[in-house]
Amino acid sequence: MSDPRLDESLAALDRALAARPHRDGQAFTEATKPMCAYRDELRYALRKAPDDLAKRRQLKAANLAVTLMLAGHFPLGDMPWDQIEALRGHLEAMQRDAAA
Amino acid sequence: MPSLGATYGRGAATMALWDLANADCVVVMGSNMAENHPIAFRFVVEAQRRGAKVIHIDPRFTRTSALADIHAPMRSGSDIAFLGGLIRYVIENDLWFREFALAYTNLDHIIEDTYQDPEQLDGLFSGFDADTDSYSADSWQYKGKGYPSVEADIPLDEQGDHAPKPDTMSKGPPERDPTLQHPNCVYQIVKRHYARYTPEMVEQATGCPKETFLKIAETYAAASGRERTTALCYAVGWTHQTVGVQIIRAAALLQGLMGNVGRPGGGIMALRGHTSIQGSTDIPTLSHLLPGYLAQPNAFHDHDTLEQYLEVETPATGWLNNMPKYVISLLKAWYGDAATSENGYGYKHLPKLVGDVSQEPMTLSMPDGVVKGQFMFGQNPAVGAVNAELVEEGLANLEWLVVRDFAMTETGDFWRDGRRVQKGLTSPDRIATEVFFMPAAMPGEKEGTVTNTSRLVQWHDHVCEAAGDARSDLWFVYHLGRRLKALYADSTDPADAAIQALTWTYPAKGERQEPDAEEVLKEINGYTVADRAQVAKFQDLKDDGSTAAGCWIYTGVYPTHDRNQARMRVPDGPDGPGSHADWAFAWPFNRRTMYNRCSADPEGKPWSDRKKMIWWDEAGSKWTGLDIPDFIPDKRPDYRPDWSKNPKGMDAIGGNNPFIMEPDGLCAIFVPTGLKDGPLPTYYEPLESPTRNPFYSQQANPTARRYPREGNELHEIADPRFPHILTTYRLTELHCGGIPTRIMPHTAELQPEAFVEISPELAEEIGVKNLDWTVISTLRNEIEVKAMVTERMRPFTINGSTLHQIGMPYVFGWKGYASGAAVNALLAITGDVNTSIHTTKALTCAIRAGRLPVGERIREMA
Repeated sequence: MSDPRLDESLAALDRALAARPHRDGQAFTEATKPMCAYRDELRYALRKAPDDLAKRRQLKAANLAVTLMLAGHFPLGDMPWDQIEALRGHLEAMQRDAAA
Repeated sequence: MPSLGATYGRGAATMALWDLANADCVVVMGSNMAENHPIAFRFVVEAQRRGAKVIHIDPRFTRTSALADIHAPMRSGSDIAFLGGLIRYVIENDLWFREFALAYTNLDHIIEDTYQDPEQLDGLFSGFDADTDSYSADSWQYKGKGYPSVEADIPLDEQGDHAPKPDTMSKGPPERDPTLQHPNCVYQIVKRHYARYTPEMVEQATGCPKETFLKIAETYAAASGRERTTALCYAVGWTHQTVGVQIIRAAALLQGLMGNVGRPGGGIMALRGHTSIQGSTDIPTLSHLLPGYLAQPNAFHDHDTLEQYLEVETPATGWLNNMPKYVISLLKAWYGDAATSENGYGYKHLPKLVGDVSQEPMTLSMPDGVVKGQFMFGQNPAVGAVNAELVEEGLANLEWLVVRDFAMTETGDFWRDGRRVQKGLTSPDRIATEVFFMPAAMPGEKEGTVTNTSRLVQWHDHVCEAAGDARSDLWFVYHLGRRLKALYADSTDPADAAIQALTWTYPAKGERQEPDAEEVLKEINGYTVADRAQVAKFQDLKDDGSTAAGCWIYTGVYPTHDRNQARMRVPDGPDGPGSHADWAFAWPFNRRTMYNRCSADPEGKPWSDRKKMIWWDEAGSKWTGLDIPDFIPDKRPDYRPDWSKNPKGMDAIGGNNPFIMEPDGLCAIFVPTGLKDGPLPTYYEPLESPTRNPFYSQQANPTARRYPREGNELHEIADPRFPHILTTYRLTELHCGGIPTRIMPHTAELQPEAFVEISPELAEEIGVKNLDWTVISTLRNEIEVKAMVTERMRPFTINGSTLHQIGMPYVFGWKGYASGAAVNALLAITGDVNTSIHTTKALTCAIRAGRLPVGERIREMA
């Protein structure tokens, strides 16, 4: 079973993608918040168990997700839709990893 | 300042402060210079004493206005209407400096046939995509030839289909029409573009009487040309708007047309917001730049390797073709022996951008949980940042916050008595942020440099020890870095390699282990790696790893081991050249007036004896004169590139092309590439405005950054609930976020309490007298403050209606002796698309007599 925060984040990301080419900043906010909460939990867990490689892998994946969400929320130039589309696949992989 | 960069090549003031005294006219706009830059203003006073006219264009009548020969009242946010009116005036009356502009600008260049102007598209330029609120610059290019920009935040590989590679200008100049008759030459486009900016329209949009506008236009034009020059001074009154970059562009364009660049008393004086802001963009706290205005690598661009990054970012023509030397020298300074040609000089260690990580997006990200910790160095955003209450919400979501300041700030204490706590929206027990307050040394308690508004790097000495635990920022950063390096020394995680590779070997002195600031400055200057000898000039930097330099534009500030040029304090005598070359160091290479090749005509002779600065010495085969030439010293004026050889670098810049940082050496009256909101400044209303745009149907800058979210709502156009214009500013007596001066009795007593300036007419309308309480409100917040009823504020007639403007200093908070409402709580977070800089100068609000309910008052006023 996946983490509900990842599901929430993915659902919000899908709303952002559905709004293409218009950038829906609110959808990115809604995607970012649960992802950050998920990331926080991983960080706290790793502080207690620094050698937990699975958690470390998941934390790196969460950091990448937050980074790309920021890129979509606050783009420097053109919206990086290709990367946001790729982020969707990344979130699905995170869901599978969390469920494993 | 991308506007000055895009127009002239460098984003900085073009002239020295003292050169203002040589002006025949000084226009101050977007600045209350007498109060906020009083030291610099003495040169304006000196110019006036010598006969110059001083003009102040400003919504308020201030001390600057009082000293000016002409004060023009102008509604906040309408600057481009006024400047556009001046551009039209000089073109329609044929008062521009024709020989100068034809020789040194792109006025005769032909633009693509597909270009369409706001004249045709009712306020939009061609290339606008309404789905993304952004522009493609393809149709803005020179006909058949893309133009690479010098602006670092727009990668060359994304500057339109015409400019896939940065080498277009090495194949010859674009099509031109020196007769200026071609309908798509820049001159004709500019003429059509500004045709509607008539004196009547200027009055309608700005509220400045037509007669006053015309008097200014006549005065300005009469003080420009071969024999005379005008200087134009601005500050954050321009930059803090969603069209801030384009306002400055309008001024740069105008000064280019009039020949007021690179000449004695002529230029643009970009007055910086406070001490060493210039330095903080040179060696940047800006998130998108490396030191020396080099582009930060971007993960989404072709920047995977150093080789790719340099290939994409290095213009083929102009001085910036030397960019690899500066980047590689920077990497050598940062990573030392760990930077080798085999590993791309440690390029992989540089963080790569993915999005906008400037202050406003990061502030907005904090409530979402993205940011976990923050350092505050001399910054007090709980008072000084827009939407201050949203800032507090973000601070409350951090895990840790480090505040370094002279005394406790509202930001450092937000968890205990911040606005949200005082209003009962949260409480200390619900805020988990761990706050570390670190006392900071005062200026006299530390050594180092400040870089002032005219690029002058000035050393200041340590004169006494800081009390108690107070330490310099340099001490803090050095020891933090030292400890981080120790912490990661044994790590095998590749993510930690950057910290491991970083050179961090500055000698520390004394019991307190204070790092030697001169050693830091020596590294910034640069040295040869083999023998650690100082590099004397940036022309000596190499791209083979043999030199290191922390910031190439500062090379020369410490040219030998025993000469700290920033420490020099030798002024010229009365009969000296007046460039004061031995007074500190001005980048680049101690040139005081940038683009000073402009001071001579294309043949190399001064335009006039009265306004001579540098000229070609035929006998000596070199440029000589009263300043260090901002040009190749021995490049003849009649040198012309041999286009059959596809010349690169400076070989592609003619001896008559003064703007050497531009790929073609010309001032860009029309900017094909480099700005995200248009090639020409055009008039838009501020995002919040009580009136319709009188020029076009397009109301506001379509590309402006809006951040819709709860707590950051914007007012609708002409929202009857918020009918007044609000502007904010600071005071001579209280500095910016306020703490250093609010805690000092002798400065606090000079401005003891917050106030809002309102006109007698508005005071009567809302029923308040001087010193009565008022409540000012926006959709973001409400504050209460006492009224200062003054004729310094006047109602404006805009589009036929009377509009009131109110003004309030943003320097107050609830700590210190001088306290009062923080007006920034009223403001929304928005941004200029080119810079993300917020808007503080033109928004809308309501004001009423009375006070807030007791429970909503902030402590100092209860």
